[in-house]
Amino acid sequence: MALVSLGLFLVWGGWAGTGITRGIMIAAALLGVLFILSMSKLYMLPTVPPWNQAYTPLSFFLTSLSLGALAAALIRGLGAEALSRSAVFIMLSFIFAAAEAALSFLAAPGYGVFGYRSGPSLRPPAEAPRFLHRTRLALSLAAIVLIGAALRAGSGRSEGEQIPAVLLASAFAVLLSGQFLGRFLFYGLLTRPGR
Amino acid sequence: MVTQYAFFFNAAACSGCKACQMACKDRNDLEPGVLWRRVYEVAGGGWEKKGEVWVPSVVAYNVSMACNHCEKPVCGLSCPVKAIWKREDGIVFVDTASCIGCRYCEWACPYTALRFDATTNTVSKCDFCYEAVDAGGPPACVAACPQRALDFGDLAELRKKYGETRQVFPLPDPSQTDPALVIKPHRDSARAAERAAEVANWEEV
Repeated sequence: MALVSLGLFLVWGGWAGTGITRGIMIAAALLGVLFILSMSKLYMLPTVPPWNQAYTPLSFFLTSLSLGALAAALIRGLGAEALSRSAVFIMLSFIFAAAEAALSFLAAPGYGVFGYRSGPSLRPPAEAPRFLHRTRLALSLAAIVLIGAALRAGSGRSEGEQIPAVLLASAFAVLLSGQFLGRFLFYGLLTRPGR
Repeated sequence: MVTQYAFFFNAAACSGCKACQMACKDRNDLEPGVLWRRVYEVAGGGWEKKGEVWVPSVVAYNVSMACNHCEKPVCGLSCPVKAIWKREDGIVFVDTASCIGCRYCEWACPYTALRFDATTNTVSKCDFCYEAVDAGGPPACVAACPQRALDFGDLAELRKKYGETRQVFPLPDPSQTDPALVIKPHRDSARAAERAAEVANWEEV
């Protein structure tokens, strides 16, 4: 999913070639958006209340957009692109990552402050331990701090200079780890009975 | 002519002996871990103070559950290869030869009726013992119940005989699938949710 957003951002940032190459990239990015939508709809079964809510598509999109924007910033940074163009992607990843963290803190089904609480069911209760949700939030916050540090590092530099790639790469790795935990918690909401 | 076969379950009479579960397993030669009918033991409560006296407020009863051959079978609607279909008399079947083992129907069914068999990489479920029923006999679970807590027949007839109830704690909202099911609730079931009752034998179902 993050690759889809990466493609989208690269197209938007004018880094996707020219002519037919650019056309193919635009088509792939748009199909990718449909792919994320259809993936989230796949989980939104009316008979699975924890998944059948707005949180599902929102989290899918925010995961994709935050990681995609960060990956785009990283690629552009490595390519010694102009600082201002790379900074746009870092700022976007900061916004999307912060929105995703806030959403999961408040509305993650089964774990969030205002999230769904399981009702009567013939399915066993969710198996994932609660501390994983806190770990996931901590990782998201750490990634936001690292992205903020990258932005701060960039603010003192002149056009044409690079933002330290190690900061962006660390932020990407930490954010990705948090999102993996988030997926684990999401899938753990539906447990299968029997062996 | 039967238009929708259905099960009746009397929770007030069920002793939780699991004869229905074992009869189903035996008749259909199911692999270990695959259960087409399960008996859920619902338990909760404890003690509550009434005036100066502590009295027990225990909730304990059993729910025997198989496929409910729903009028809106969401398992069939969700199957990507249309391997789940409904016969004219309402019985819902899984065509295991067509099943690709994606297990999406397992997600969709709120009664957890679909069970995955890793040895065949397909899902399977209660087929209402259709061969016995077509021959005029009862399904194995109904025949095996020593308490006569299970019955079967046309849904309209069962409703006339036993009433309209089709949901009891912890069953899901019946409007999701319109299960062909009639239940006589146990007296404890009305207070199960408020007394934080829960299925006590997850490892068995």
